[in-house]
Amino acid sequence: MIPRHQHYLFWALAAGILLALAFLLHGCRQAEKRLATPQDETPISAPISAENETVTLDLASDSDGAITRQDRPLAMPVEASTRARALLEHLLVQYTLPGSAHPLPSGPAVDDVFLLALPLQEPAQASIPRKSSAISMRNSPVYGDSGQLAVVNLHGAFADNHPSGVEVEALTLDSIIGTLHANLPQITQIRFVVDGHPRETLAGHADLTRTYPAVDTAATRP
Amino acid sequence: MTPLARHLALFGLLLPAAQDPQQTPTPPPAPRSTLNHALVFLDPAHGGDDAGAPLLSPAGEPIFEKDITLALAGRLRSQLSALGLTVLSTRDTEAQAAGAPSTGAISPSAPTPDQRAGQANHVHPFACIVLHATGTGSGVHLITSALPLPHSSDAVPTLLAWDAAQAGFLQQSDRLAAEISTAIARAGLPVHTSRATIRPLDSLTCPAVLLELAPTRGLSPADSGYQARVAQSVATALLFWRGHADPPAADPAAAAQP
Ligand SMILES: [Zn+2]
Repeated sequence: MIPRHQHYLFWALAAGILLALAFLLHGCRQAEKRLATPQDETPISAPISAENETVTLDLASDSDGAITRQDRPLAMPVEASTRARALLEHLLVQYTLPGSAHPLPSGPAVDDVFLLALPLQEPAQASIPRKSSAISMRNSPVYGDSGQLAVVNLHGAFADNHPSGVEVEALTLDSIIGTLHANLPQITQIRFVVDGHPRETLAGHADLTRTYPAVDTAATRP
Repeated sequence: MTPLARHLALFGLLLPAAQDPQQTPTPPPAPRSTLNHALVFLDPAHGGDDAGAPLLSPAGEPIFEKDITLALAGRLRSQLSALGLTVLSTRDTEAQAAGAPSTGAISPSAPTPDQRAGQANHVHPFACIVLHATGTGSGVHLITSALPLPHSSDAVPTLLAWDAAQAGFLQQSDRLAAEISTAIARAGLPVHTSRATIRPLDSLTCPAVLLELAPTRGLSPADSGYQARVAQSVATALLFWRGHADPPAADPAAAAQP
């Protein structure tokens, strides 16, 4: 004679098996339906327009302190500030590759590049304190007042881990300046900030409180 | 921070430049002064809390740039004194500013770049040599200011910014760098010249060259033999330069003050 509780357990297990089978069959039918319907190819977000083109990189070399121009094919965005940022990221990645002539530590280097029309106009409604930092940005009375000012916002870790030295720091700035000048001729002046704030030097030497003229640095460092 | 807010914040940082007191144009320069043809000004960079670049000694032990620049300045001072030249240095000990009263204890802070330029500009040396050392690059880097050369029509500038005081001396500085470069190359050491924007170089009213010692052929900038060869070459070049240094047509020395 089977005890009553074993009888109940048998029927409960049998019911569970049937339910699991029904669930599996339902899942299979759903999957079949999903595969049968055509894929929806509507993009979720607008594509970033990027066209392959030739860009010029001003590449630095520590051994002789020279900057050499090199043309490279690169998919570049159309919008100018995004273009400038993509260009500088591509440039600075070259220095993290094995065998680089100007080795820099890897990691994000450029947060943003802002392009401002010159001469600068004071924002009428800006409620930002005029002196938000102890470090003042120095003026540049000598480089003219037309074209665009590029403000290159470097990543804090990039500056903190940059090798320290007069020449090595100057080469990094000259490489950035020359590359911007070669590809975005509307830029006439360049300033550097780190994590959105002014900083005295890149890694103890190169002056970041100055405005730099956008020039062909490969010509000044043959 | 949203991109717009950051944009505006950057804008706010850029605008105050016009009101920066350091940018206030100074009055027209005083009548032409002469350079002191017996005086060399040395600036061993860094010191105190500012250790400079981390390097390795010949024994492979950690050493800081501030100690190498001080050692190199000491060697250069000995060489120049032996040649009969007077030497003034921005710091003679680890951090203590030259001329500061000696209390026996080392001050934790070295002179600021503006203080270093102020000391140099006060005494009108015929050469200012700023000393640095680095673990990157090769040989001796000779660097002059990246300020634009003044146009010929600007021979007598009426306005002068502290941050651009070197402009009037740039041609002299380039010639001095060429003399030092020749002497170092003659000693069989690799050398190259370039330009950079670094304080206090742009504020110096003297023929000014920044000398950065980098490793070469397995030699560390901390190597005493390497330093001695460089010091001797620089001293030889300065002895020659003594007879060629001239103040520019209009001497900005009297006008440029921090
Ligand atoms: Zn240094």
